Amino acid sequence: MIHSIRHRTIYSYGSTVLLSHHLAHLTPRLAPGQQVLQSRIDITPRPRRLVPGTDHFGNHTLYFQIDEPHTRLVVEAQARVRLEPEDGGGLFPSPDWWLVAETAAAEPDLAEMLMPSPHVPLERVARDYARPSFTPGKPLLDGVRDLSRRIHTDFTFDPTATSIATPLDQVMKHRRGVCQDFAHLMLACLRSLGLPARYVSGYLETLPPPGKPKLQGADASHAWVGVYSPGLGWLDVDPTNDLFPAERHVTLAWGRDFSDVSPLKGVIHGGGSQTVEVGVDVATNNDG
Amino acid sequence: MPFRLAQTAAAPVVPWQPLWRPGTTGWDEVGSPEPRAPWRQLDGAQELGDLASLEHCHDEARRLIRDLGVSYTVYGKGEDQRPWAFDPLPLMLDAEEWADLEAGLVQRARLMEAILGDLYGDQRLLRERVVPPGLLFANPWFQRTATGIHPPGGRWLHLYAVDLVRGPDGQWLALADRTQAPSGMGYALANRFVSVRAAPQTVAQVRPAAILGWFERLGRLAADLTQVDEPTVAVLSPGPYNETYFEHAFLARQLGFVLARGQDLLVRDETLFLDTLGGLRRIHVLLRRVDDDFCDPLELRGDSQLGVAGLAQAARAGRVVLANPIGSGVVEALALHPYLPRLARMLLGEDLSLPTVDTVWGPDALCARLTDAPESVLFKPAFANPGIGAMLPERLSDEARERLAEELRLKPHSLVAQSRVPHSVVPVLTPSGIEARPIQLRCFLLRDGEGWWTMPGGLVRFGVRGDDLPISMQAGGGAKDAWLVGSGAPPAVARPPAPVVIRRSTEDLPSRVADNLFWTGRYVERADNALRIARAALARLSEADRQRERAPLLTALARSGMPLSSATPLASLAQVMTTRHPGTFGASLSALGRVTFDLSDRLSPDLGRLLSTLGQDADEPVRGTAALGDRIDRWLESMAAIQGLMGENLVRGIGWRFLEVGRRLERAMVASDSVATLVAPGQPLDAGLTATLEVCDSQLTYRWRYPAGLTLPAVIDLVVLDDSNPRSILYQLEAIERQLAALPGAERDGRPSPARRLLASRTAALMALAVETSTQQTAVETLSAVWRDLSQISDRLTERYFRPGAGAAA
Repeated sequence: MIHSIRHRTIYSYGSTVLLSHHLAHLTPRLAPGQQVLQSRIDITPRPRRLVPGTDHFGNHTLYFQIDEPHTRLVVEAQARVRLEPEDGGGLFPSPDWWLVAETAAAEPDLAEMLMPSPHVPLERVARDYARPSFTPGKPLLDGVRDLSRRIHTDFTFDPTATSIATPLDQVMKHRRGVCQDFAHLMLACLRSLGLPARYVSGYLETLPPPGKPKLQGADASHAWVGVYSPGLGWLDVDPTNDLFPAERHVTLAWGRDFSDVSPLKGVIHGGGSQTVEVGVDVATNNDG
Repeated sequence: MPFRLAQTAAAPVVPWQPLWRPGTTGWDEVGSPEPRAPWRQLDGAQELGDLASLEHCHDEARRLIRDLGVSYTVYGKGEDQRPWAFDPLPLMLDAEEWADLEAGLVQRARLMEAILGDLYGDQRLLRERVVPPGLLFANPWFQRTATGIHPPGGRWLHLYAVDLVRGPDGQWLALADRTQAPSGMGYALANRFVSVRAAPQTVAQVRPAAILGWFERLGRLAADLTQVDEPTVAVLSPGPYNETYFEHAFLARQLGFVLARGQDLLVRDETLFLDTLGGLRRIHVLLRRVDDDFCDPLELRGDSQLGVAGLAQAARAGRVVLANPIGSGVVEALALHPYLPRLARMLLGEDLSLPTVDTVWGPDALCARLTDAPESVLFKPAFANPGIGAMLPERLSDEARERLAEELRLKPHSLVAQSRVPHSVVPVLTPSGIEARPIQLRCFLLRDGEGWWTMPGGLVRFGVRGDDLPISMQAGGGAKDAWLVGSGAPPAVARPPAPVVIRRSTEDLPSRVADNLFWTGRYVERADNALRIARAALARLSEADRQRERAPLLTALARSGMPLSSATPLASLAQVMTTRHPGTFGASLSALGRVTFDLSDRLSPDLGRLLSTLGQDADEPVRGTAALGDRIDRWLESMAAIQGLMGENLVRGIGWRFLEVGRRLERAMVASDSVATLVAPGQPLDAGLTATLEVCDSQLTYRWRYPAGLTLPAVIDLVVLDDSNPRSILYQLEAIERQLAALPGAERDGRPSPARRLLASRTAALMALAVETSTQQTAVETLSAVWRDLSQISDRLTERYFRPGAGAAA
């Protein structure tokens, strides 16, 4: 299945910006079951410096600097991505979660995704919430599926309830949030039990196939979670929609949490007040 | 020679020695009864001999410290800068013993650098399981940004500092490593300045190893790191609120580096520049005193106001050298200590020669220490600043210890247990005589093309108490110089001084400084004006027959911030003085405090003192009109002194011109606003004119010229149009033009700048004014037009000179 993505961000500034620096995570990365056919990023006004790179996690980055005075910045990322249909990861047999927790900390490749990170502090409240899903002897992925279901049931999707800056304990308290919050919450739950988990940033198809409901978080950037299961590797789980992503989730980048993979950030000189407008379209061609 | 030995034993070698009571289980640095070899060098020392001369030397040092302005900012109390607590009796170090220590320090520097290269490189240490992954991934100082940055030549450290303690057996032990932005070397240099001047004859006799050569090497480091003939080095300082701001300014001054804050710098084309009024000036090497995560708000902490956006990218592109590179803080973690011996063997193929204070990390080992031997360890954060957050488990209650154990189960990586080592003690002169105080020694290393160089000596810090708790300048305590003596010591005499270069122009003035000077001028005049209006109002409150004259002044006061309550006018006037409402004296004064604090390294200490004492009594209650009047008079006198110092004590450079423009602009603006209010239609004219002359300080001249009485045209002529009256508005406009004409950017394409053109047209309009036919209505119109134009001129100056990158854009 081939998805064509168009992700447009428009910043409007109250006064002239004289100089600005930006860092984008807007080019889809190579991921299991995902192949990037084509991608490009168009920026207006034209940057003076444009430097593509790769970050610590292997994601594609783009640094750019603009020194043409401007009051409006448009960044448009486009990509064509082929997703190979896979069976839902939740159907695979997996080891006892306790075994995974016992061994992960010593693994250099997994340990990073066990540690607290800027948006995912390790607090008792997350561990207490996670416990009922991970009873002794439960297979890892059964626990993950149960946790995803409980987050989906217990928490209300509410774009007005939170912002990037809302800390996790507020989300826990009010039981409301958006995909980012639910991803961070699930990461905190899994990591507090010693289970490696990473934050995945990406997109959802905008139009559901006939007969299927439209998913929460389409029309914008989406976020979900990757968990590590020995023998299977990293498997995605989307607590916002309570499902194991197959061919409707396009991966942009992954990291410890949102702060590692923010799609677009910047520091401007001048500019005054600013407003931002984001639009995402994902068109799907089933024949691809 | 047994005879001589017997003789020295009979009389103390050092006169204060009989007073010396080490009284500790720790190592006695002096040695008793017979002093150790380096201390015997003080035999016959003039200034450091008996108690009286020590006390005299102490006073002398205090005076020198005040003159040098050595200070240390204490957190949590706003801007409390306390003088550097310095004890002039140095720590005496033996050169032979030093050679061993130095070898150990250099080896440790090489080891730290090798570890950094591995952790940000191919991570062999993780893959081969030499260190647990948590050491890196639980470490908040592991900067993922830095994994793609390869410092030129693999040089991960240019500067390095180690805190040392001496154990009870006399062995030096490393306590902590400072790798990201080592502090203290400036204080070590200041200590040497002071100790050499406080005890010149002793220095001549003892000849301690010179440390200046090390600093000269530091001054040349930039040329070595870049292939540029005359590279520019900037010290990136967090600013005057930082605890060690003194040394940032001091080092910059001593070594000829630019002292900059984040907002003075910008990155363009992956290149770092200083943003000056004259344009962008490239910075080749950045000696940063800002922690790793605050260096770049784009790639590191987004809330940082201290860094420079794009700095990481400039470093990645190899277009600026950071001393030290972003990410170097990762090896400051105490959690690294247990692994050092193994890492030395693996990475250097050597045995670690300088031991580290025994440290354990990991939940099991920690819990064991917690239950088995809580009295023998200090718990410290495994990754935070090594100087903070130490806990004594023996002092914890059972309940608190249980909570700690629980915390460790959730975050097993967060703490280490460091063995407590009784610190060695030295004599310190206190009000109650000579006392034994525990010390730490901070040693400094730098690396240039020839290799690693250790400063011969270092910064000695002593604690307030006689125990082994972490020594911190924040908690009190003080500092000493360290003198390296004996055979084999590096040369005592510094190389001949460099030839003197005469410099006049001090400018590459950063835009921020120009901005602050401009606003200093403005706030001084604003505060002065508020006081004058208040004084005039007060006179009319207290004299019953002047009631009728009150109205215009009350309106003016209301405009400048706060209306007076008619029921309790005196109390509310007193409040006008202290309120923070914009435009009032209180608000102007606190804004003035803010901008001048930011300029503290550029204003004279006298000026700083005047500014800091002015208004200190503002919050005290006033009893009666007379007391309030006295207070306002006293403040006005201080204001006059401040204006005088600004006029007479600043070099007529670009900076002074901005200050002057700010003063003149504000004086003209507040005068036009106040006069327009006082003579407005509807106000009793006589009362308004009297108040105008008083607020504009022009009564005397008026009475001389016009003994017949008050008329509106005559008053307007004197306070607005008469350019021989230094308080008139036209006088201010002409003064502003003189300064603007001398600034860079005074002309654009051969024409006067927009601000100057606007100024010229308003000046011409005033000169052409037919003042004889003025009415209250036309006067208000004239004055409002002046105010409007000046406010626009202020905006244009801001646009042209004070905005980031403005100098470059012009």
